Amino acid sequence: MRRKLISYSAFCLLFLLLLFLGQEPGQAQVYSPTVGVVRSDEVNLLTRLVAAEAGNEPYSGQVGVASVVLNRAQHPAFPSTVAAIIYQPGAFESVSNGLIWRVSPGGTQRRAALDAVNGWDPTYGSIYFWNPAKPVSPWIWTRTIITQIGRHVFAR
Amino acid sequence: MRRWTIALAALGIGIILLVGWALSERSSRLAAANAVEADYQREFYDLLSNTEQTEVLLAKTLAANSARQHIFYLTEVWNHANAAQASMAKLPVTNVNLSASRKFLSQVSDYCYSLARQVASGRDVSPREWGQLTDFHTRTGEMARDLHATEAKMTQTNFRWTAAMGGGVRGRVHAADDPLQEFARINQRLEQLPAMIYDGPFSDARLEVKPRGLTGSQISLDQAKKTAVAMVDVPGRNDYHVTRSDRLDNAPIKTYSFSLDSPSRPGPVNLDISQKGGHLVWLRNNRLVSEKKISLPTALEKARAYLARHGYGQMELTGSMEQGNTLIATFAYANQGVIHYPDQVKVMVALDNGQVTGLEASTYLTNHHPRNLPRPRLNPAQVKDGLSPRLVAERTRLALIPLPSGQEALTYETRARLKQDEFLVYVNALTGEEEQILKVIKEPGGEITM
Repeated sequence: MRRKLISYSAFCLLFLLLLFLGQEPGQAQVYSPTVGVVRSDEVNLLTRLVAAEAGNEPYSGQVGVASVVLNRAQHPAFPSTVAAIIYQPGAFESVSNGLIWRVSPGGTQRRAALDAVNGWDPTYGSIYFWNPAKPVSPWIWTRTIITQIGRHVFAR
Repeated sequence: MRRWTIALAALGIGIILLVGWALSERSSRLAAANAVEADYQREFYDLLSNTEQTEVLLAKTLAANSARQHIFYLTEVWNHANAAQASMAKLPVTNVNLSASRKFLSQVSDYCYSLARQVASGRDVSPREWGQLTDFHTRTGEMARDLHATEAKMTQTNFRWTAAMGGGVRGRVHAADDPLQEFARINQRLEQLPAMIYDGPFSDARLEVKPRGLTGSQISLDQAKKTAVAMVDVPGRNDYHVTRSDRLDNAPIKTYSFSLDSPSRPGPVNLDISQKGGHLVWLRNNRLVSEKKISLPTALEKARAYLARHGYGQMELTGSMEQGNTLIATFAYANQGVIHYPDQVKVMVALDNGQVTGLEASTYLTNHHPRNLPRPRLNPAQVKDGLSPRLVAERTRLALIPLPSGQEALTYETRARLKQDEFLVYVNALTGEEEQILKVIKEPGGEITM
């Protein structure tokens, strides 16, 4: 009787042990391929900004506006993501007055944003742009102007 | 009489409804305004506490005396200084320019990250670097002190960010009591900082890169004009003429900039020619591309032929991407079996007729120069043996890569798989150390690396 009990409990233990071995935690975790990385969010944001800030500018001027955002992402004085740069308080007039949410961007603005993302920078690393015909803070004129495209001046 | 009562009752109900609507409108507006105010207040307090943390952690770094502790504290400084910079950039301070303060916090963060990596790779902090950390500690201390003074004033004057933005409350506050004046003081002190030179992406040295790939002598505007017209890729007769030309004397690569038009073709074509040597820096044909008619191999052949025609003979294809009926092909300079990633050119080919509609060579012109590459001390088999056991290696080749520090390293590039995901692993060909790992991301038109 007692022997039977011992062998029974030994069997149970073995069973439990096998159960545990079968579910070894290292085996249960299988690497699943990356699914969450796409650049479309940045392109969407840039497209909107280009439409709102430079919708009527020549094509290279539109690329220039997108380039300024991307150049800021590489510069220590600015935030490091496209969204943080575009929505930095007071950084872009079209965000302050809400135009960025009212524009309906077209294919040209999208192409301009993509061209900038692909590395074309007609402004050579500019981190500012403004329209000299509009009132701007006098401080901005202390920057080195690189070029003027359409109505916008681009500067470092 | 009865009519009057009804009219009065209707009017009364109308007024009550109107007042009710106005009150609910006002309260939802107030709720939205308060949410915005709360965001700004939180960012300010986050800025304050992260600056404080940065000061304390820099002090601990100076007090610690083991490599392990140095790495811990330096990576914490990296985090907190970075968070402080991000919070500062979210504050609506628009009448004081805070660039110098943000740049300082970024550089403290970046510097400590580079230093942590250096210590992790076995090289101790040098006396000059201790000096820099001491200086950071003093300056972040001053910044934290001034932010505390700002906070005290804000509490006293019941400061509201949203009110300050509209200029409403500011008028009634004396200039001396204006909390935002402290920000101006903080920034002024940091504007006079000497240039910070170190091995990192935010080093001041990296912001002023001199192009190394410009060979040849200065050319005149007229010569550049001729080059410009010759660069437009037109099958048959080239009837483009220059409609705008400009001198870009302040650009890192000094150029002549042109706009070209043709009576018979949609345009315009924009392009820049370097003043030194007359190199094509970039070109972009703005015409719309119609239906896809040519194959990718044919398009790549067109891109190669265009590069060879314009002085880029030794180029190897490193990636391509299809976007809206245009092929964007990336090439890198290749010499003696080593692919040189810093010397990169991008070519766009329209897939309707195979015309080259875009070129981007500024990266190449900035980086390309004659190099004396060392001999690799490892062989490909040793590199494959050293890879993570989780990876399945495919092919290995020699590649010169740019490092975050701005220097270059000779490496073995191994394409490897982890299940369905692909990676590019770069192992230093001299030391055998893993320098970098890039993950290949498949997008609809091709692949990118991250």
